[in-house]
Amino acid sequence: MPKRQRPPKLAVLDKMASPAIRALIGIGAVVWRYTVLVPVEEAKPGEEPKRIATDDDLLNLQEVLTKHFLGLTILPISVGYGLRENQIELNKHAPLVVYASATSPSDLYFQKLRRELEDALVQETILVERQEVWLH
Amino acid sequence: MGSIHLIKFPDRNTELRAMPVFHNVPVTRVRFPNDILGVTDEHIQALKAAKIPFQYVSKEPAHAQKAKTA
Repeated sequence: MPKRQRPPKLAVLDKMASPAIRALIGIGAVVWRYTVLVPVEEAKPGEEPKRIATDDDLLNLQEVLTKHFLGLTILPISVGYGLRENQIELNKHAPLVVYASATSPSDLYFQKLRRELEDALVQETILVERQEVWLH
Repeated sequence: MGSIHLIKFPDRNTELRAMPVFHNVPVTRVRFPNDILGVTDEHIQALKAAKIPFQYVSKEPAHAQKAKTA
Protein backbone atom coordinates (compact mmCIF):
# COMPACT_ATOMS: atom_id res chain seq x y z
CA MET A 1 0.00 0.00 0.00
CA PRO A 2 1.56 3.35 -0.99
CA LYS A 3 2.44 5.77 1.79
CA ARG A 4 0.10 8.70 2.19
CA GLN A 5 1.15 12.29 2.59
CA ARG A 6 0.63 13.88 5.99
CA PRO A 7 1.33 17.29 7.51
CA PRO A 8 5.01 17.56 8.54
CA LYS A 9 5.55 17.31 12.31
CA LEU A 10 7.70 20.37 12.81
CA ALA A 11 7.57 20.31 16.60
CA VAL A 12 10.46 17.81 16.40
CA LEU A 13 12.67 20.79 15.51
CA ASP A 14 11.88 22.80 18.64
CA LYS A 15 14.42 21.08 20.83
CA MET A 16 17.14 21.64 18.21
CA ALA A 17 16.37 25.34 17.92
CA SER A 18 18.88 26.69 20.42
CA PRO A 19 20.49 30.11 20.01
CA ALA A 20 23.55 28.18 18.73
CA ILE A 21 21.94 27.80 15.31
CA ARG A 22 21.25 31.51 14.84
CA ALA A 23 23.59 33.43 12.56
CA LEU A 24 25.69 36.22 14.01
CA ILE A 25 24.68 39.17 11.88
CA GLY A 26 26.27 42.59 11.92
CA ILE A 27 29.67 41.71 13.36
CA GLY A 28 31.42 40.38 10.25
CA ALA A 29 31.26 36.61 10.25
CA VAL A 30 30.94 33.53 8.10
CA VAL A 31 27.42 32.12 8.18
CA TRP A 32 25.66 29.34 6.31
CA ARG A 33 22.78 30.20 4.04
CA TYR A 34 20.36 27.30 3.75
CA THR A 35 17.79 27.07 0.99
CA VAL A 36 15.05 24.49 1.48
CA LEU A 37 13.25 23.64 -1.75
CA VAL A 38 9.79 22.58 -0.65
CA PRO A 39 7.94 20.69 -3.39
CA VAL A 40 4.57 22.26 -4.10
CA GLU A 41 3.40 20.58 -7.27
CA GLU A 42 4.54 17.95 -9.76
CA ALA A 43 3.07 17.28 -13.18
CA LYS A 44 3.66 14.56 -15.74
CA PRO A 45 2.63 14.90 -19.39
CA GLY A 46 -1.05 14.05 -19.85
CA GLU A 47 -1.78 13.91 -16.12
CA GLU A 48 -3.35 16.35 -13.69
CA PRO A 49 -0.76 18.18 -11.57
CA LYS A 50 -0.29 16.63 -8.14
CA ARG A 51 -0.15 18.91 -5.13
CA ILE A 52 2.59 18.05 -2.66
CA ALA A 53 3.01 20.52 0.25
CA THR A 54 -0.26 22.28 1.04
CA ASP A 55 -0.48 26.00 1.78
CA ASP A 56 -1.03 25.06 5.43
CA ASP A 57 2.18 22.97 5.38
CA LEU A 58 4.06 25.89 3.81
CA LEU A 59 2.72 28.42 6.29
CA ASN A 60 3.58 26.14 9.22
CA LEU A 61 7.09 25.76 7.90
CA GLN A 62 7.47 29.50 7.38
CA GLU A 63 6.28 30.16 10.93
CA VAL A 64 8.65 27.61 12.44
CA LEU A 65 11.73 28.76 10.49
CA THR A 66 10.98 32.39 11.36
CA LYS A 67 10.64 31.51 15.03
CA HIS A 68 13.86 29.50 15.10
CA PHE A 69 16.06 31.81 12.98
CA LEU A 70 14.32 35.15 13.69
CA GLY A 71 13.74 35.78 10.00
CA LEU A 72 13.07 34.07 6.71
CA THR A 73 13.32 34.95 3.03
CA ILE A 74 10.65 33.43 0.80
CA LEU A 75 11.74 33.35 -2.84
CA PRO A 76 9.19 33.19 -5.68
CA ILE A 77 7.93 29.75 -6.70
CA SER A 78 10.55 28.11 -8.91
CA VAL A 79 9.70 25.83 -11.81
CA GLY A 80 12.04 23.06 -12.85
CA TYR A 81 12.08 20.01 -15.06
CA GLY A 82 13.31 16.56 -14.17
CA LEU A 83 13.56 13.14 -15.69
CA ARG A 84 12.03 10.35 -13.61
CA GLU A 85 11.99 6.82 -15.05
CA ASN A 86 12.59 8.26 -18.53
CA GLN A 87 9.56 10.52 -18.23
CA ILE A 88 9.76 14.29 -18.14
CA GLU A 89 8.28 15.84 -15.03
CA LEU A 90 7.58 19.47 -14.19
CA ASN A 91 8.11 20.47 -10.59
CA LYS A 92 7.23 23.61 -8.67
CA HIS A 93 9.09 24.40 -5.49
CA ALA A 94 8.79 27.05 -2.79
CA PRO A 95 12.37 28.07 -1.91
CA LEU A 96 12.78 29.14 1.74
CA VAL A 97 16.07 30.79 2.72
CA VAL A 98 17.56 31.35 6.19
CA TYR A 99 20.91 32.45 7.56
CA ALA A 100 22.23 30.09 10.23
CA SER A 101 25.41 29.86 12.25
CA ALA A 102 28.19 27.95 10.52
CA THR A 103 28.19 25.14 13.09
CA SER A 104 27.21 21.47 13.34
CA PRO A 105 23.94 22.14 15.20
CA SER A 106 22.70 24.00 12.11
CA ASP A 107 23.48 21.01 9.90
CA LEU A 108 21.77 18.65 12.33
CA TYR A 109 18.69 20.89 12.34
CA PHE A 110 18.39 20.88 8.55
CA GLN A 111 19.10 17.16 8.28
CA LYS A 112 16.22 16.55 10.67
CA LEU A 113 13.98 18.94 8.74
CA ARG A 114 14.86 17.28 5.43
CA ARG A 115 14.09 13.79 6.74
CA GLU A 116 10.77 14.93 8.24
CA LEU A 117 9.71 16.63 5.01
CA GLU A 118 10.71 13.59 2.95
CA ASP A 119 8.72 11.31 5.22
CA ALA A 120 5.64 13.53 5.54
CA LEU A 121 5.43 14.55 1.88
CA VAL A 122 6.48 11.08 0.64
CA GLN A 123 9.39 12.37 -1.42
CA GLU A 124 12.57 10.48 -2.24
CA THR A 125 14.62 13.62 -1.80
CA ILE A 126 13.99 17.10 -0.53
CA LEU A 127 16.75 19.43 -1.65
CA VAL A 128 18.43 21.50 1.03
CA GLU A 129 21.31 23.65 -0.21
CA ARG A 130 23.99 25.09 2.05
CA GLN A 131 26.21 27.95 0.99
CA GLU A 132 28.96 29.61 2.97
CA VAL A 133 28.67 33.39 2.92
CA TRP A 134 30.43 36.24 4.65
CA LEU A 135 28.12 38.78 6.23
CA HIS A 136 29.64 42.19 6.89
CA MET B 1 12.74 49.59 -7.50
CA GLY B 2 9.36 49.74 -5.75
CA SER B 3 8.58 50.27 -2.09
CA ILE B 4 8.88 47.73 0.69
CA HIS B 5 5.99 47.47 3.13
CA LEU B 6 5.72 45.78 6.50
CA ILE B 7 2.29 44.22 6.85
CA LYS B 8 0.38 41.89 9.14
CA PHE B 9 -2.76 39.82 8.58
CA PRO B 10 -5.62 39.93 11.08
CA ASP B 11 -5.35 36.19 11.75
CA ARG B 12 -3.76 32.99 10.53
CA ASN B 13 -6.72 31.98 8.36
CA THR B 14 -6.43 35.22 6.42
CA GLU B 15 -2.73 34.63 5.92
CA LEU B 16 -3.56 31.14 4.69
CA ARG B 17 -5.93 32.67 2.13
CA ALA B 18 -3.10 34.94 1.02
CA MET B 19 -0.76 32.04 0.26
CA PRO B 20 -2.10 31.19 -3.24
CA VAL B 21 -2.12 34.91 -4.01
CA PHE B 22 1.55 35.15 -3.06
CA HIS B 23 2.38 32.08 -5.18
CA ASN B 24 1.42 34.10 -8.24
CA VAL B 25 3.63 37.07 -7.37
CA PRO B 26 7.11 36.39 -8.77
CA VAL B 27 8.87 38.57 -6.21
CA THR B 28 10.73 37.74 -2.99
CA ARG B 29 9.13 38.49 0.37
CA VAL B 30 10.45 38.19 3.90
CA ARG B 31 9.00 37.14 7.21
CA PHE B 32 9.91 38.42 10.67
CA PRO B 33 8.92 37.39 14.19
CA ASN B 34 5.42 38.34 15.37
CA ASP B 35 3.94 37.38 11.98
CA ILE B 36 5.20 40.51 10.26
CA LEU B 37 5.85 40.25 6.52
CA GLY B 38 8.06 42.44 4.37
CA VAL B 39 6.44 42.68 0.94
CA THR B 40 6.64 44.77 -2.21
CA ASP B 41 4.15 46.86 -4.17
CA GLU B 42 3.41 43.78 -6.30
CA HIS B 43 2.30 41.79 -3.26
CA ILE B 44 0.17 44.67 -2.02
CA GLN B 45 -1.56 45.02 -5.39
CA ALA B 46 -2.24 41.26 -5.52
CA LEU B 47 -3.68 41.23 -1.98
CA LYS B 48 -5.93 44.18 -2.77
CA ALA B 49 -7.10 42.57 -6.02
CA ALA B 50 -7.97 39.38 -4.12
CA LYS B 51 -9.70 41.46 -1.38
CA ILE B 52 -7.57 39.95 1.36
CA PRO B 53 -7.46 42.22 4.40
CA PHE B 54 -4.15 43.23 5.99
CA GLN B 55 -2.80 46.10 8.00
CA TYR B 56 0.33 48.15 7.48
CA VAL B 57 2.86 47.89 10.27
CA SER B 58 5.09 50.40 8.53
CA LYS B 59 3.74 53.76 7.46
CA GLU B 60 2.37 53.80 3.95
CA PRO B 61 4.85 55.39 1.56
CA ALA B 62 4.36 59.11 1.09
CA HIS B 63 3.32 58.82 -2.55
CA ALA B 64 0.56 56.33 -1.61
CA GLN B 65 -0.76 58.71 1.07
CA LYS B 66 -0.75 61.58 -1.46
CA ALA B 67 -2.67 59.46 -3.95
CA LYS B 68 -5.37 58.80 -1.31
CA THR B 69 -5.82 62.46 -0.51
CA ALA B 70 -5.64 63.60 -4.13
